Amino acid sequence: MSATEGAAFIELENVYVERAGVRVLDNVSLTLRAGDRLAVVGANGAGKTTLLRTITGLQKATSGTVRAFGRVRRTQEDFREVRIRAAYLFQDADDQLFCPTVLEDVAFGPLNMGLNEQAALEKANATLAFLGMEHLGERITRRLSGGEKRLVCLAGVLAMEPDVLLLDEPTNSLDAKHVEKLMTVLSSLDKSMIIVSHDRPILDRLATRAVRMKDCRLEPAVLHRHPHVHEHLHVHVGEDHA
Amino acid sequence: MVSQQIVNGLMLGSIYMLVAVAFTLAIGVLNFLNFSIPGLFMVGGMAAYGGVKLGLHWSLAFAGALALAALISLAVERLAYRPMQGGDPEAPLVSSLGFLVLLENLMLIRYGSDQQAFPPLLADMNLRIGDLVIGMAQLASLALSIALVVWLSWFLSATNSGRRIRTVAESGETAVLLGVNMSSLAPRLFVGSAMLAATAGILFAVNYQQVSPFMGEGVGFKGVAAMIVGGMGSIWGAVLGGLLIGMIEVLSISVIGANVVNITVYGLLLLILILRPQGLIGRPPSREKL
Repeated sequence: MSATEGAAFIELENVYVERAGVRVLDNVSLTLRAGDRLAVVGANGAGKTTLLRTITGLQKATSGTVRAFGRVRRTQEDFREVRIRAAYLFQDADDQLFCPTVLEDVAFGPLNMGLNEQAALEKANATLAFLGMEHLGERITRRLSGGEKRLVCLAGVLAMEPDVLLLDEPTNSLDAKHVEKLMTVLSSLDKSMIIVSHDRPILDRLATRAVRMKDCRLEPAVLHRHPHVHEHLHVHVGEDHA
Repeated sequence: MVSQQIVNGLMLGSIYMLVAVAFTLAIGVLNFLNFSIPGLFMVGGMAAYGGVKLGLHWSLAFAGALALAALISLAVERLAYRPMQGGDPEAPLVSSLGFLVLLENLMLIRYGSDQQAFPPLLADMNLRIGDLVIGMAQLASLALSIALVVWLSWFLSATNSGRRIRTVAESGETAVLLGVNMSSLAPRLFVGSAMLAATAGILFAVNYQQVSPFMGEGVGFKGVAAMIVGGMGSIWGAVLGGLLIGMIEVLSISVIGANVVNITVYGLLLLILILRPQGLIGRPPSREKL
């Protein structure tokens, strides 16, 4: 067991969040430890994304305590370290990509962490190579496919070497090939995760435990795995059929 | 002579352009209509006047005026902008307006409400091209204004700091999640914006040879109008809007008369916005960001 295994990275204690007088998180308590991969399930509007926003300080808690990496976090300055160590993978990849080329986009986080340009580019190249995407480095970001963009976003957050990944609907609008690629990468990472998703097969593969958001409250959920036997109907077209 | 009026219009427009770009930096990046900018324009002109009057060399007086504007902008950031984050979006607008009134009244107490004569720096140096007379101060001011905007555009597109600013302009939340340090970026943006406004105030003082505690108000309105007409959030829109307003103003004074100048200027601007609500080079439906 490593020194940090089992240490609490993120702890929410009795957190309430109100927006425009409406309660959006109601007495939420949660602990994410090193090695945890926590699935957060629940209906749309239940407060799942608000939970991630509260952890990263984008949403201010009305009351309660947000503790991350051993310290209580209150101010925007407090949350700066949290946002680097608990990297947020956006639902929409286009929200996360700003730079002309893939390499510049992946290097953006390391630059903001204080690395010089050369070191940031080396970090970006190494991360792309780790993901098997070094060939995309000089590509124009906006011209990538949706799946490629999502993987570039993941490269961008991994280049910041976070301890925790906050994944908001990571497989949203990805095709099967890119879902598989993303899952393979995420499964191989030795990082804690909070995974907000409606995609049950993905949660089954990634998560080690689960909670459910219902009516802005968090309640325990049970992960269970068992084999299924399916009948499949396949439609073959073109060369497959020949 | 129309060509002379065009030169004069370009000169006046270049001052509006700097003020419009200062507003654009504030609203395009921080989403904050910073009403202290006309005050910082006035501080540029009045503090330069104060320095020259004290017997300082003009270069020291100008540097002092810019430094004072920078310090005031840091106070605006710390007292009017930062504490209001996460609250009502109109609050910093009102608090920055409070700074404008405060600055005007401090200058009023120090220098009185009358126009003060700014001493000519390059009085006898003119460039003559046929009947066209271009003062060297005019020419230097125009060149400096254009150089500042070109440099700013390069800075935003080609440097890492510029990339951070553009990321904040696209989405402040995304920028902070990607590690951008807003606590350090926001004060720099305030100072940058103040430098542009104060430089415009100094250029105004040098070219029109008069300053007053309320010199920022009229120019501030025109700067905001230039930003909106050019296209909110676009630096080149602010440049175009500023130059256009300067030209319309000077030509309308020349052709129609000074009494109707504001009716002409704002009437034409209204017409442009009716025909093109997103501004001349703004992008519908979301606004351009730098």
